[in-house]
Amino acid sequence: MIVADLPVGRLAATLAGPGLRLRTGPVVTRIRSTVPEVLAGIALHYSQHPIEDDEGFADFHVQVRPPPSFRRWVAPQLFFDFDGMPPFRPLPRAQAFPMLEWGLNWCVSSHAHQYLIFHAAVVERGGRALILPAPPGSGKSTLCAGLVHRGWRLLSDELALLEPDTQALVPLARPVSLKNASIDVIRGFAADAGLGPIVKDTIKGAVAHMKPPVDSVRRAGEKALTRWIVWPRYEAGTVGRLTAWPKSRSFMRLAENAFNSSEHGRSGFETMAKLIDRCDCFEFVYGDLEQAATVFAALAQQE
Amino acid sequence: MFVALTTPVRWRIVAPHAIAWREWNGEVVVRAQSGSVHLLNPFASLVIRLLIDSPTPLSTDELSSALQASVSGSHLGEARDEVDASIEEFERLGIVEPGPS
Repeated sequence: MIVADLPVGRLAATLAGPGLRLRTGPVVTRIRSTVPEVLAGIALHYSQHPIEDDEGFADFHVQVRPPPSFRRWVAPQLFFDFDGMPPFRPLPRAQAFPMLEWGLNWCVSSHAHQYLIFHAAVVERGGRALILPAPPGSGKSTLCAGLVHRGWRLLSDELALLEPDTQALVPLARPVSLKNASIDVIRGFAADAGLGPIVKDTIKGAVAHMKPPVDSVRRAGEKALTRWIVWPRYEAGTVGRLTAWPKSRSFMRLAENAFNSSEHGRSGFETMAKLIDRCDCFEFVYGDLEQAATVFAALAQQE
Repeated sequence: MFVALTTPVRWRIVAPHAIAWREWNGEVVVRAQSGSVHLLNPFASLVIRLLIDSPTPLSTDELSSALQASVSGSHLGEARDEVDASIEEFERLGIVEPGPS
């Protein structure tokens, strides 16, 4: 069963009652909420995701809820609870869905230590994965969103999950978080992008989520081996081109983007080194998304 | 008349199983026992490779001599200064320690 199989009324009742056991790749999250924006966000962005039965196991138990105080009505705020405790400060109610998304990212990056986890987008084409690690503001999510509308499969917009034993990347196809000018860029780039409402004045500015492509969600069980690591950076007016980047420096930059390398100790170092060994590493400065997609299409054609 | 009462310190890798390293394009990335990860410059990469490959601890003189031969155009004094700086940094990072003379 997938989320879209549930009539909206039943989805609302499930969220308000026992919770929706939502499967995203290898992760099952039990989500509870009575907040309409959460219901609408899940109905839109997760419509094709599988759901587990009410008695099934869940890795994480989360809730988006109003506070039990006057802040329920005056300048309303919401809490994100993890196992009954709020790990973060409350946020304005208008940010309900982004808050859920950020909370789900935190659940995985803070707890799924069976994987070596990097802050990176991951896409795949022809069975070979491309990791796009980068700090916020670099254009990573924009590039990721653009590529998945030009023939690449979305594995993740935010978290690269690397299996240490197999070196495989595990898909975690969830909504792509677009910020500020990127929202209109993607709207113009792909008319069918499936963008949700724009939420303004978040800590990241204006945010809108893009629904993950149906094919990417359906193929969430297909892992992929990495072939390329590319460090993207948006620079207006630049003609995009790939520049080879030394593996030693790629290792260091990748380490800076690892969430949990300390959890893996020495074996985490070895896992990352094997990843670097198997990849071609590049820096990619781009100013036009369509032209960038052309560059990556050519890269995917190479042996 | 003075007689040298000390022998030169000889350096070795701290418990080789405790560190991890990898070399790409002449640059070594090393993980110290503490878990910190460091990118070494090409000269320091040569120093650490000599220490890793040597079955016995090495003095800075021995390291300098070996590296003078492998770094073209380098004088022994310059090589020794760079070896000293590398060893000092490695010791601070917990990568090397004095071994038995």
